[in-house]
Amino acid sequence: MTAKIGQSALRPDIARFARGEGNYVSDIPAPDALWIALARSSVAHAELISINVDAARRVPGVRGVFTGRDLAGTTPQSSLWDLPGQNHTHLRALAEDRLRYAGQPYAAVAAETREAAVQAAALITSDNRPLETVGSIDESLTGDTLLYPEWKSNAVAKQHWEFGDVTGALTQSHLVVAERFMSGRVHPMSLEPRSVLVRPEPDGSLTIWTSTQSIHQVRASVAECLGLPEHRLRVIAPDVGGSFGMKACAYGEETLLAFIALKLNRPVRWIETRREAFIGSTHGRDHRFDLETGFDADGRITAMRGEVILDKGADAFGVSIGTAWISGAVITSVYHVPAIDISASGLVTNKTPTGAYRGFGQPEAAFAIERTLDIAANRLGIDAAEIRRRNFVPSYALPYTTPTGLVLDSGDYTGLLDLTLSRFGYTDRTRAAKSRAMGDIRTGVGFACYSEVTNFGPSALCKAIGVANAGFDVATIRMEPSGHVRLFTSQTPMGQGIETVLAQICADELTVPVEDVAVVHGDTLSASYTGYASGGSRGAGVGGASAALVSRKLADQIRRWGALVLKADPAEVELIQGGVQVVDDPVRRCSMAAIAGEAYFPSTVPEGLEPGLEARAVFEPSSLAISYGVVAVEIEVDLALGTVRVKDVVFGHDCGVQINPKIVEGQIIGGVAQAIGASLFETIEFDDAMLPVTTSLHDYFLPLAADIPTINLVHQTTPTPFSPLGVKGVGESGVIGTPAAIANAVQHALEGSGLLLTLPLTPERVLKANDTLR
Amino acid sequence: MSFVPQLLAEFPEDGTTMKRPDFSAPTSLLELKHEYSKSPEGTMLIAGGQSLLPALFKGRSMPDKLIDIGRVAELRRLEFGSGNVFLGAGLTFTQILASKGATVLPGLVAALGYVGNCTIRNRATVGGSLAWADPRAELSLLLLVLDAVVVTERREFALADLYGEAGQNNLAPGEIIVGVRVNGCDAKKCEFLELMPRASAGRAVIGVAVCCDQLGSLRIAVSGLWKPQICASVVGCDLGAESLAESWLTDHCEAAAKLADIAFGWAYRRRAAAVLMTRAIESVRR
Amino acid sequence: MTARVQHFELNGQRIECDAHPSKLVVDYLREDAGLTGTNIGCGEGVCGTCSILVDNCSARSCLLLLGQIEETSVLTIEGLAGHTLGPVIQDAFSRHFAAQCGYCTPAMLLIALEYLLDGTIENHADKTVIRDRLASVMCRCTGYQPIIDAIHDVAKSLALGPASQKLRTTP
Ligand SMILES: Cc1cc2nc3c(=O)[nH]c(=O)nc-3n(C[C@H](O)[C@H](O)[C@H](O)COP(=O)(O)OP(=O)(O)OC[C@H]3O[C@@H](n4cnc5c(N)ncnc54)[C@H](O)[C@@H]3O)c2cc1C
Ligand code: FES
Ligand code: FES
Repeated sequence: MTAKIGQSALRPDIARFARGEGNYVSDIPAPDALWIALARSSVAHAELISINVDAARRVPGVRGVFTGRDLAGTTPQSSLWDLPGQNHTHLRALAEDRLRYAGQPYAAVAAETREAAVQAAALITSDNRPLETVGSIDESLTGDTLLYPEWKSNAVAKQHWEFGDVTGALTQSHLVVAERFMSGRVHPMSLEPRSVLVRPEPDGSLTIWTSTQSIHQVRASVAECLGLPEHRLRVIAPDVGGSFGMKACAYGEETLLAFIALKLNRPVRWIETRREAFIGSTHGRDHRFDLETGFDADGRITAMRGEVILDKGADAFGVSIGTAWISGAVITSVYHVPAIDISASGLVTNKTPTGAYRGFGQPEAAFAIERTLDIAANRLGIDAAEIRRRNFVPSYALPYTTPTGLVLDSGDYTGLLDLTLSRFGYTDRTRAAKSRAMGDIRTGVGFACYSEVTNFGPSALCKAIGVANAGFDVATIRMEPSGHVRLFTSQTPMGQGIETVLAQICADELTVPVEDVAVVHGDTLSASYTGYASGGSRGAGVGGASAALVSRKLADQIRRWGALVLKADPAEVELIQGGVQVVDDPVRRCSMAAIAGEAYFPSTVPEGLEPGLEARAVFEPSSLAISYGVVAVEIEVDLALGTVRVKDVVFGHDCGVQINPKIVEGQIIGGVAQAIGASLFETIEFDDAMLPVTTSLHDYFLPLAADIPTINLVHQTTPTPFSPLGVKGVGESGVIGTPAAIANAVQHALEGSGLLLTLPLTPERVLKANDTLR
Repeated sequence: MSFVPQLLAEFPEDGTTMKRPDFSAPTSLLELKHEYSKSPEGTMLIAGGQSLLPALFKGRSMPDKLIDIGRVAELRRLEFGSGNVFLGAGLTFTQILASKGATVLPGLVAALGYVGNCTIRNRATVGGSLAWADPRAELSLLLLVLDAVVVTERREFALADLYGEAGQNNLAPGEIIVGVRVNGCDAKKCEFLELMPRASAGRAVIGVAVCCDQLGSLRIAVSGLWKPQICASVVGCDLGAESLAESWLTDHCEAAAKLADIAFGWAYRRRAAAVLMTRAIESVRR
Repeated sequence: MTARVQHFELNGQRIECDAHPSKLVVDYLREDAGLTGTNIGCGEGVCGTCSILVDNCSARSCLLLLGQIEETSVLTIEGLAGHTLGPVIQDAFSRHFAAQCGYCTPAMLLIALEYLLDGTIENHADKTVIRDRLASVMCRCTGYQPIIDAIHDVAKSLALGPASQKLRTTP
């Protein structure tokens, strides 16, 4: 099948999954592996005085018990983000002198069977001296109890942006909307829990299979912590059963298992239970955004002052305060804001650490600004669409540098807003909604705009904002002697179909059928080093760009070898329909197989070529690409019970050139579903002692099929000038504007005077905003 | 390469051997009674296993033996007569919903429709649901307002007497629920309403069952408000639905320990119960 | 100790095994039978990832003991292609992009088969009914829409095609 860019080539792996041939880490046979089980803290904050492992050691089949003391000689795990002045937690995989959250591992058992490992881990106890817990941002701010006394406060890091005269602008504003917007703590909840298998190889190296988005980051982390050379470490990500950011960073378990495998010289494996996933894998959101926005009488924004604080949980590993940083950086979204004063920070508390989760700070910002715009529109008596039109950065001003320094690259914000709202039937629906009351049921209509920072990159930007990994992407390619192609990438598939997208790009550049391209991924042995891996919505835009560049290099070699076969001038031949032919002379044509035959078994080697067909290319994005869109929703709320149902979603978006539209659609719809969960049902809770309450899917309400309405898409295409294919990312689009859109729609349906400012919109919160529950 | 909690294998204190509970699956009631009476203490019946197995994973003490009652034909009796219904303990909710008589018992289709999801209903049984005594269970809430009678292999008693103090059932050691009988349901009208944490499957936050007989007198049961579910008849049936619901709730407010959790606090639950009860009363009166 | 041999049919094959009857079916499938297509998402009966069909009815294999499937016919994802409807559903999933990470996919396909075979449903192409039925299995990636579309597609073609009854009745 030819699959040009823009066609929805089928994903071959779906057929494989549908046959039950998915190959996740837990499916990899390792009958000789020891099982690892972890003893985890059952208290939120305590001094760890001693650990009792004797009973565990006596369980038959136990081959080793390890505590923090055993790891003392290793290097603590470092943070991927390191902002100026950042405090570091310097934690290792097992707690040493202090327990800082319920669920923190402090001992590990290796045993011949999983039963024995679990049993032994359950017999491990610790003597603790309890410490006061820090349970919230407010408690953390007081600094009365410090998680890391050497820091002298509980702050991990702080970032500040300032531009223009904010105080002056706010005092002169016609209206100032000042509210506190809260995005609750949620769990990314990949359906496949994390899982690690480590095998010591006969040559002294280690192979690590792990469910991750970032093979090179895991390798770097294990190498750094254990002082191992990277050429002795091979990290493999087989099929990854969902990740959503939660598997973006290296975790302690990878290092711990590598350590134990080396100590015992045995393969070892660990598979997270669902309960462990709830307390041990990083959570998302938990942001509080205080935002003050000034407007003139026409609804134009005059200035913004804001402070976003992230509840980081107990450890600043992984992305550190990255989500708060991005939240602050994108608060002006696609709007022209003349003056800003924004700060972003993260504080430690005695909870499971938060980390990357799809959206990465952007839904939190969108919730604040898009709710603010609706509130302002209402107070000023301006239509919600009109107030946005008045504030959009106009197309002619693009590229436009925002006051926080991001570059809005390309787009037509007004055009997409109008297109989406007309498809949605916004005006009619808004009018109809009010007259459609049935008993306690009210209809609400609302929308929100969003922007998505994609093609995460410029290495210089990464450096400037303290991201330890560079932003370039490397691809290598080889045409085999048979004329078939292999692309080697370090982008990791985790359900987003990146391998199909990359195959399409290569096939398109090389004019070959997509089946003739095999994409090799998920293995540090074959993939070139790529720092930031698959995250920041950069797979198609950045990984795809390097795939295109490397294909072009290969195409050039193919053309020149083809010219040799055809005895033509290289300038006269072109790549067309899976072969090379003389321009305008289809009779003088040769196949890829013939060309590859010549390149691998040459009689002469032309000047400037080498035998074989291989190339390497690096793409270094020159800037971010900003996708954007409009989410319009209709909801139904039961004013007596406070329950909300999303009835209809129309999602307008622009992610530049779409390589595979069905895959794009899947990313958006899947994202919207996650956002509906985070807007209405999903919440991770702790009790007064900061012990986790939500540790089972019985209590954490993932949306089910009946909770998600049909989602219709509206496409607009504005290529980004910053990627050779014009491609922007789309992986996070679905989650960014949706919560604000839902809240705007619910607010529209309410009759009371209270504002909806906290996610999720639980029935209690809805009733309180409607003044019907005290 | 399993990673289901492996607690089904028992770990003795000395850690010498690991043992799983014995398992048997008798095919007749006689055989079942015989098996069970051998050692009622160390034995547990397993029906669908949809409540028992998760509890065993969570560390409920492991029995020496499991007796699967799924093969006992006598427990799968399903009879729908003129106004009388008998549901065998071994019937699954799916079997009941697929049977012609499902609509004879008023409110049954609505109530069972709220239970878990299709896959759970495929295995969850009448006997298991009643015996497990989960106060949120839809089936028992409905059967309470219908004054159902529990039939065991040795006696018959009102369903309300099945429930003990601490969420336990009052079955004697070795006692087996054979089924449950409801009489006179042709003359009754029932409504079952539930508030779930999301629009689709999920355990009840609040459940309300209301039954109205020929004379218009009402019996109401509510779950999710107090520790056990509460079922009681109504005095003062001439009130409007809303006031009736309020007065019923006020009358029983002190009855037992209040339920609340972080997601759904007491005030909210109390209000939701009143709303659902009002709607259910209006519905049966219609 | 119950020394007992279990008999059942697994993906069309008669099985005799001496694994312990109190062993979980999912463990038996993955460890003893080497059928790793059945995934585990929670191990507590909630997510549905581990669903299999027992006599054409879906069941959580993480809440099912081997002794409970004695003399039944079990279908796992590995056996789906052997069912007349299997390849039709598999093909629809591919065409509709009805999987992303694939973790829920085996369960979704089996639930789809159970649904399409369910004679108590009047109109299998009713998307509201499909949505309700899919409450059995969680998917974190797709938002369910492409899965619903795929099942809807099969249901429609079955309703139109003359072979529909035959397909439904021949296992
Ligand atoms: C994900 C999930 C969601 C669920 N959602 C709901 C829901 O919304 N509403 C709801 O009501 N339930 C729900 N359930 C529970 C399910 O309905 C119960 O499992 C069922 O009610 C119990 O029936 P069972 O056949 O599975 O019993 P089992 O689990 O086999 O047994 C339960 C108890 O009853 C005893 N027992 C069983 N049969 C007899 C008998 N004949 N005589 C005496 N004792 C007996 C057993 O010894 C055991 O102690 C859910 C379960 C799961 C896993
Ligand atoms: S793994 Fe069995 S239901 Fe989740
Ligand atoms: S495709 Fe990933 S969970 Fe459904």
